Amino acid sequence: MKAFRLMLALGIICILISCSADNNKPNTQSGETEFKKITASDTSSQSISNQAKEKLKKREGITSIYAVNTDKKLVIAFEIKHHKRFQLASTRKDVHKQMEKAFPDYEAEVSTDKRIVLDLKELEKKVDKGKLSKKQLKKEMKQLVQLMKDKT
Amino acid sequence: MANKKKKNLPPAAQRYQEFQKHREIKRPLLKNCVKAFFVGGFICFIGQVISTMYIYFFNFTEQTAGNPTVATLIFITMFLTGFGVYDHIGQFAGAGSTIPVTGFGNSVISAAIEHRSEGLILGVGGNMFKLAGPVIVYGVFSAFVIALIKTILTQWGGL
Repeated sequence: MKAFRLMLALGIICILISCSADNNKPNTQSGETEFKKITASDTSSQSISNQAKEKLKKREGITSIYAVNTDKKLVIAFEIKHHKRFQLASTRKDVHKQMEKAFPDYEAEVSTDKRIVLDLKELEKKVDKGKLSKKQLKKEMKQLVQLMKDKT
Repeated sequence: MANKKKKNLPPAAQRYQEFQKHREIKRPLLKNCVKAFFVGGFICFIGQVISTMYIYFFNFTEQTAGNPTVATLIFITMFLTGFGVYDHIGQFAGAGSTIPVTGFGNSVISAAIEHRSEGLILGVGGNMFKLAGPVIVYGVFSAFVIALIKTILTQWGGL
């Protein structure tokens, strides 16, 4: 009986905590998508990745988008709301299809991996500051794609 | 099954069963479940912290961070078992400490320590995988069966 009461109390606490946390969420979590357009123009043009970001922004549940492109490849990484993670694989597939359709001249790679998101964020910053030459950007992108496709 | 067996017992034994049933100390099932839930959850939490650490500080993705995480957890369990700490955790949490991969590590290492006195080959080598062996055998076998089913479904079923 005592244990049952303990369980009941824990259950109620869990429900109450999750409710209050939901209400206190900051605005960026509930609706707005975090992304930044790359404005640097001296390396290869990033207009394609900016367009991709605009397209993805309309999708529901995406919290942040990062994208970089060379003249042949387009790498996109995005994060989605926590409760949407059940549909993570299907969303990724969907986004990949959408990107391939929208940019048929580019080889699109889509990832939702935390590591790729972090790396792409860093790469975006570097590109934005104009620190990378075209060759360096290509090399970094190649490494990223390789990391993405690593299975073990 | 158990009730059928009891019916075939001689009357004296049946009376004894009835007698001991009332005096037996009841297992605190719910309490054990709660303990197992929290300790097992805590082990998984540590695993998640290690996994996140590999993703942030080393060159691993979410997919590839699994292997080093498992290895690290087993390594930690090895020390805890050797120092006798894991026994206490196991006593307290039961299934909560045996179901995660740490339980697998513990079963290998505790058997190795226990049979050390019988020699390296027949003692340690022979007994190390007494409990872990079936886990590996059935793990590999069931993976094979699932792979077979998947291959058939994707090749012929067109899924």
